[in-house]
Amino acid sequence: MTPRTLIVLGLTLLLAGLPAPARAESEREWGGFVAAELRAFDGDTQPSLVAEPEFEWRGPNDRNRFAFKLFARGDSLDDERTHADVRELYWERNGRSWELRAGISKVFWGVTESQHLVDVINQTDLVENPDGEDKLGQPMIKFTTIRNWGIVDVFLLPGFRERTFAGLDGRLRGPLVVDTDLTTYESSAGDEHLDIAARWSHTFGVFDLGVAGFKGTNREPRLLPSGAVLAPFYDQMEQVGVDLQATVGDWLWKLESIRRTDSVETFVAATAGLEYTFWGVRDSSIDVGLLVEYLWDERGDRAATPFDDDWFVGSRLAFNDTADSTVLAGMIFEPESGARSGLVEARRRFGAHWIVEAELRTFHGGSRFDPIAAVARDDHVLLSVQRHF
Amino acid sequence: MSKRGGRVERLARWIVTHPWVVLAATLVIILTAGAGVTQLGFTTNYRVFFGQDNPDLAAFEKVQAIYTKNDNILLVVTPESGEVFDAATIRAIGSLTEGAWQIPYAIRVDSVTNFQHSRAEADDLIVADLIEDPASPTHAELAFAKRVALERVELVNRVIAPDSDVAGVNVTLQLPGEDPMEVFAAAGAARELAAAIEDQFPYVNVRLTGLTMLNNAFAESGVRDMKTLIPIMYVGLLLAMGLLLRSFWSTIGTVSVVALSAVGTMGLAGWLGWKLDPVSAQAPTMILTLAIADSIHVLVTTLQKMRNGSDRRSALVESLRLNFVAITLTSVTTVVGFLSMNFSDSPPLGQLGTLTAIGVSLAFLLSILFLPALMSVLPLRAPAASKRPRSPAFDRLGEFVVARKNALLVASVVVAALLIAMLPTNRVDDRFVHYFDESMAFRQDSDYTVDHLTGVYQMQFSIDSGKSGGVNSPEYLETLDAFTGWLRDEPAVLHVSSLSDTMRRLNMNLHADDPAYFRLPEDRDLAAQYMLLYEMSLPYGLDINNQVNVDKSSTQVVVTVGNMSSSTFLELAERAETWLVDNAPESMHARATGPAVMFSRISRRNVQSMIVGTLLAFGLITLVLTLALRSVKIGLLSLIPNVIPAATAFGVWALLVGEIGFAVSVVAALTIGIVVDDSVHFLTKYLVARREERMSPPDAVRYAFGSVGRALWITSAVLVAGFAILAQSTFKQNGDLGLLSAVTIAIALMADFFMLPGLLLLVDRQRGERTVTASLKPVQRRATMKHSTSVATVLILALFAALPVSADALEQRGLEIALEADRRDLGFGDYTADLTMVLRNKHDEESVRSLTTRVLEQEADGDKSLVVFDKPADIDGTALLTFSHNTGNDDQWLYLPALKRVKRISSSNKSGPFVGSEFAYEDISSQEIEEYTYRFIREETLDGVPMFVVEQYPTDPKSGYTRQVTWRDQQEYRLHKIEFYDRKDSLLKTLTYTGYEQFLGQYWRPATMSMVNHQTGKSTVLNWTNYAFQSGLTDADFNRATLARAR
Repeated sequence: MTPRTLIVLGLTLLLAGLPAPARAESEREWGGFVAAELRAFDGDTQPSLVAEPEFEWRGPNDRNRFAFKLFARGDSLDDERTHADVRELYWERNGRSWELRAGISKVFWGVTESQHLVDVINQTDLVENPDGEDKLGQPMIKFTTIRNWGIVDVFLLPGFRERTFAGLDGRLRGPLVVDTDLTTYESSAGDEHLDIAARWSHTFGVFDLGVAGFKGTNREPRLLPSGAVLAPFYDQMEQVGVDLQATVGDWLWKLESIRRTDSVETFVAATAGLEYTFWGVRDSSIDVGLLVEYLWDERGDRAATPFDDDWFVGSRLAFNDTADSTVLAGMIFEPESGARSGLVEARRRFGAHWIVEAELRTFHGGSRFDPIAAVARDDHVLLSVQRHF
Repeated sequence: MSKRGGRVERLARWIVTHPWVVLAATLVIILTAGAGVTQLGFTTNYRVFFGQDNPDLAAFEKVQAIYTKNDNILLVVTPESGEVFDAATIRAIGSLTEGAWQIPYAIRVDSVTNFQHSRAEADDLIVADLIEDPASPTHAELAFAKRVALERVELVNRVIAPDSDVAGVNVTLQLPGEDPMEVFAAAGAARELAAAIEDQFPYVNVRLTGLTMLNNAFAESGVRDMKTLIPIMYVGLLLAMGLLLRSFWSTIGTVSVVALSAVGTMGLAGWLGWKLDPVSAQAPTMILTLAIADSIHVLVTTLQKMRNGSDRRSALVESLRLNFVAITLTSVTTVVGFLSMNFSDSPPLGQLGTLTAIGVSLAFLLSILFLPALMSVLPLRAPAASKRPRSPAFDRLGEFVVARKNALLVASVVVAALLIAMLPTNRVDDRFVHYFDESMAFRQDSDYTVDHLTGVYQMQFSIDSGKSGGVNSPEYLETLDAFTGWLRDEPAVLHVSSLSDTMRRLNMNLHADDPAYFRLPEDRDLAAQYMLLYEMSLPYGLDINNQVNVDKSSTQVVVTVGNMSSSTFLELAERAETWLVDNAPESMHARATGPAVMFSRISRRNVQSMIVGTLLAFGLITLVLTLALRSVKIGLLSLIPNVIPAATAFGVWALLVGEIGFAVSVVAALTIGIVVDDSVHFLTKYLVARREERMSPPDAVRYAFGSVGRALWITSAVLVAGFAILAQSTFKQNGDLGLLSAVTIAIALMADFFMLPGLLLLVDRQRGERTVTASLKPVQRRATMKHSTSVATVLILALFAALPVSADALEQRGLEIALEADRRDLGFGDYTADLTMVLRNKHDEESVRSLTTRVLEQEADGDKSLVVFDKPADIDGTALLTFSHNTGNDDQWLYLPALKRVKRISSSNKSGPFVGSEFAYEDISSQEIEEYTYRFIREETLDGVPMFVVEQYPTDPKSGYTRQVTWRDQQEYRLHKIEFYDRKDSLLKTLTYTGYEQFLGQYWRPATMSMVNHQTGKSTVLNWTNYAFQSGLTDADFNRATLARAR
C-alpha cells in the first residue's frame, strides 16, 4: 500500500472514528457472501473459494455512513488469482443535496452492456473474470452535488491500482505471461500520481445523458515485450466521455463514446446499440430481452482492445419467478476477421440464501492476429455456489 | 464478402453446368408441395375474421346460443303501384312469404301478411295472420291490414315503409357453419325466388339485402375478382414485363418462377390444413406480384452482361454473384414486413401475411436455383438493341440527379413533408356496405333498402332480469320500455324490436281491445299469463324465441340503424350501454353485440395493432440492413427512403379518400417489403462502388443509377401496373389495397431516385483521398445519427397522430367516486413504510421478500417512489426509483449494488409480475385517476359495510386487465377489494385490504394486502409496518444519486 493510500485510509478512519452522536438511532449491518467455484477448461480444472464480507454503519438520520467490503479468493491453480482486495472502505457524509465520500470505493459510469468505455475510475480485476466487470477498490475523495440542472461528481484519485493478470499456471492469458513486477509508469510519480475526474449527468425526458472527463494514469496498460514476458506500462491520458440512453417504451437506445489522448495518439471509440424487451411472452411471466450493440474503435487493429469493429448480440431471459431465475446469452463477433466470443450464463436462487450460477464462455479467434486468438483454447464452464448473508 | 462471393459463384457454376439435375429436383419438390392445393379448404363465414379468443365474438356467440340466430336475408318488395296494400301486391308478398320457407336453412319468415296479429274476441285472445288469405284478399281486409300495420312499431321501418310504398319479407336463417357452400346455397335460392316472383308478378320489384347477402357479397366479390381482375392483372404484368425486358425467354423464366412460387405456397397451405377466406385468398396475387422482382434483377444483369459480350452461362454466374446479397436482403426484409401482418387482430390478415412470406421465400430459392438452371437450357439471347450503350437513359438520370442534388433533396423533402402533414386528417372509419361499389347489386339493393325501408346494420342487447321468469316483472318491463323509447328517440335508429311492445298490445287485447289499456301490465302474474296465452296461440316457426329466452329470464332488443360509419355506430352502442348503466339495475346492463358491432370494434383495434406491427417491422428491417450492409450510418439512412413512402402515401390518401378502414390499415405493412427492395438494391450497388471500386460518392451514385436504375424502374412499373389493376376491384378491400399500394410503390421509386442520392451525398462526404477507406468503415457520426433519428421520430409521431383520440364515454358517478377517494388522500406529503411480501405457491411453499418503501407526493404529477430491497440477501440494497406520471410511461431507474450501477429501465412492463409475486407492476405502482375510465356499478354491503362498487377500465393498452371491479366503503372511500379480470375478461385475481389504520387524522393505510390468483392458485400477502407520514422527505431524496445510499 502506498503512502498516499495510507493517508486516505487514515483520514477515513479518523473521520469515521469521530464521536458519533449519542442518539441510539444508528444501525449496523453485516452482509456478504462466500462461494465455492469451479472453472473447467480443456485440460485444467480450477476450483477456488471466495469470500466477500461487508459491513455498514449508518449514523442517525442516515447523515453519516461507513462502509467496508473485503474480497478474497483462494485459487488452486493460479497464484496470481489467489488475491485479496479492499473493495470498499469509506466514510460518507451527506446533506441531502450534497454528498462527500472519502476512502476506497467503486463507481460505475455508462449505459451499454458489451463493454464500458466511459467507465474509467476503477481498475479491472481481470483475474476474476475475463468480462472485466469485476473492479478493484479505488482510493478517492468524491464530492457530489445534486442540482435541478443535474448531478455533478468531482473526484480526486490519489493512488493507482495495477490491473491483475493471470500468472504462469493460470488460464485465460496470452502465450506470454504478464509480469506485474516489471510495471513501469510514464509519470515520474509512478502509481502515486494524483488523478482527477468529474462527471455531470442529467435526465431530459426519455434521455439520460452523462458527460465525464478524466485526467491521469491510463487504466489500460500497454504490454511491452521484455525478454520472455510482457511488462505493463501505464501512460498518462486525458479522456472525455459521453453516455446517452433513450428509454422509449420497450426500447432502450444506448450510446457511449470517448475521445482519449494517451502518450501515443488521440482517438475516438464508441459503443452504440439497443435493447428491446418482449414482456411476458406468450402470456407467461417470462421476459425476453434482445440486445444488439456495435463496438467501434478508431485505432482498429492497433487498439489494445479486441473490440474495434465488432457486433454484440445477446438475449436476456428473466423468468420472474420466486427464484429470480435468469439466463443471459450473448456473442461478440467481428465480421471482418471472424473472431468471436460467446457467453451463456444462468442463475437462480435456492431457498432464501443460496445462489447457483453456471457460465459457459467460448472463444474463437478468426485470424492469428486477433487478440481473441490468444485465448482461443480457453473455452470453459464455470459453476458457482454462493451462500449470501 | 469475397468468401461469400466465392461460395455463391461456385454454387452458380454448378447450377449452370448441371441444369437438368436442378430443374428436376426443384420441379419434383414444388409439385409435391403443390399437390396440396387439392386439400385447400375455403370458408365464407365472417366469423373467421375474429380470433378464437376475441371477446366480442364470444359475447355474440353467447347471445346467438340463447335466442334465435340473426343471420338473415331481407327481400324488399316495391310495387309499381306505389301501394303495398292492394290486392295484386299482397298476392305477390303472400307468395314470397310462402316461398321463402323453401330457402335452405330458413327457420323463420316475417312479413306483413303472416304477422301474428292479436286481438280480443269476448274474453279470448285471438292470434292470427294479419292477412289470412293473401291470395284473394278483400277490400275490407286490405284496409284493416293497412291500418293495423302502419300503427305497429313492430312492423314500421322493418317490413313496411311508413307510407306503405315498400314492404319487406325478412327470412331468418340458421346456418350450421359447416360447409362454405351454405351461404351460396341460401343466397342463390333467395335470388331464384326473387326472380320467380318478379316473373310471376311483373308489377313488383324484389331486391335482396341482409347479413347473409352481405356475407355472400364478400365471397362473390372475391370470386369475381379471381375470375376477371386477377387474370387481367396477370396479362398486364406479362405485357409490361415483355415490353420492358424485351426478351421473350426472360419473360418465360420469370413467369415460371412466380407461378411455381404461388403453386408451392398454396399447396403447402393445403397440406397444413389451412382454410382460405376472401382475404387470404389474395395470397397468390401478392406472391405473383412480389416474386417478379427477384427474377427481374437476375435477368436484367444477365442480359446486360451478355450485351457486353459474355456468354450465357458466365453471364448468369456473374449476375448471381452480383445480385445474391441484394436479393437475399430484399427477401428477408419482405418476409419480415409480411410476417408483421400477424400483428393484426384479425386472423385472415395474419394468414395472408404468413402465406405471402412463405411464397416470397420460395421465390427467393427458385430465383437463385431454378431460374439460372432454366435460363442455361433456354435459347436466351440479349435483345437486339445492343448497339446502344448500357441504359443511357439512366446514366443521364444519374447525371441529372448528381448535378441537381440539393434542389432535388430540398424539393422532395418539402413535398413529402407537406403530404405527411396531411396524414393526421385521415379518419379511422369503416362502412361495411361501402366495401362494395355502386356497380354491385348488393350495394344498390342495400342503399335502396336504407333509403326506402330499413337499415342493414343491427345491434343486439341481451337484457337479463337476473331471475327465471323475471321478464314478466313490471319493473323490468318498465325499464325495458324506457330503454326502447330512448333508442327510438335516437335520430339514427330506424327500428327497435322489443318485448315491451308485445306486452302493451297483449294487455290491451285482454282488456277487450280497450285503447286505455295500451300500457304495460301492472302485475307480474298477469304478464306471465299473457305471455303464456300468446305463446300457445303462435304457429310453428313464429314463436317468440327471437325475443325471449326459454326460461323467460332475459329478452333481446334488436336495434336497426340507417347507413352510418363504424365510429358513429360504436358511439351509439356506447351511449346505449351507458344509458342502461345510468337507468337500469345491474342485471340489466348489457353490452351491444352483433356482427356489425363486432366488425366495427375489430376494425378500430386492427388499425392500432397494425401501426405497432409496422413500426416493429421497420425497426427489424433497419437492424437487418445495418448488420448486412455493415454500416450503422447507411442502415439508419435507409430508414428515410423506407418510411417516407408509406407516410407520404397515407398523406396522399388523406387527400384522395381520408378514411382508413380495415383493408387500408395493412397497406404500410404490406408494402414495406416492396419499398425496402428498391432502397436495398440502390444502396448495395452504391456501397459496392464505394468499397470495391473506390469511387467517389457522386461517381458511386452514377454507378448505382447505371447498374440498377433500369431494374428498379421495371419492377416498380410492373408492380404499380399490377396493383393499379387490382385497384379497379368493385370490392373495396381489394380496390383500396391496390390503389394505396400502387401509390406507395410509385412514391418509393421517386424517393429512391430523387431523395436518397442527395442524402447519400450529404452524409457520405469525402475527407480527402487518404481517408476514403476509413470513412467507409462503419463510422458513427453523431450528427448523422441525430439527423436521421429525428426524421424517424417525426415520422413515427406523425403516424401516431393519425390515431383517433376517441374519448371514451366516462361514467360520471364512477369517476366522481374515484375523484373523491383521490381527493381524500391528497396532501399526505410523504410517507415511508416497511414491507414484507410472503409469496406462496399452490403447494403452500413460502418465499419471503422484505423491503422499505418511501413515497413523495407531487402536486401536478404522479408520485415519486423509492423501493429498496433487504431480503433475499443476494438482492440486499437493490433499489427501484419511480417517477410516475399521470399520463404516459413512468420513469424508472434500477440500482444494482454489486456493480454500483444505476440503470434506466423501461417502464412499459405494466402487466409483468413484480419480483415474482402475484402483484403486477401496475398493481403496486401509484394509482393515478387518468389511468382508468370508470363506471359505477351498484351499491352493496360487504361484511356489513355499505360499499360503492365501481368498475375501472385501464386506458393503457399494455395493461394486463380488461377491467377491475373495486369495492370502496361509502364512509371513507377506502378500497376493500379489487377483482382483476384478465385480457380474456375472466377473473384472474382478487386483492383484499385489511387492517386499515388512520394517520395524521386523515390518511388511511392498510396493514395487509392479500392477492390471490384464481387461475394458478398462487398468492402473495403484503404486510405493512412502521408507516411514518410527513417525515420531511424532499425531491433530493428521490434521484439517481441517492439510490446508492438508500436503505
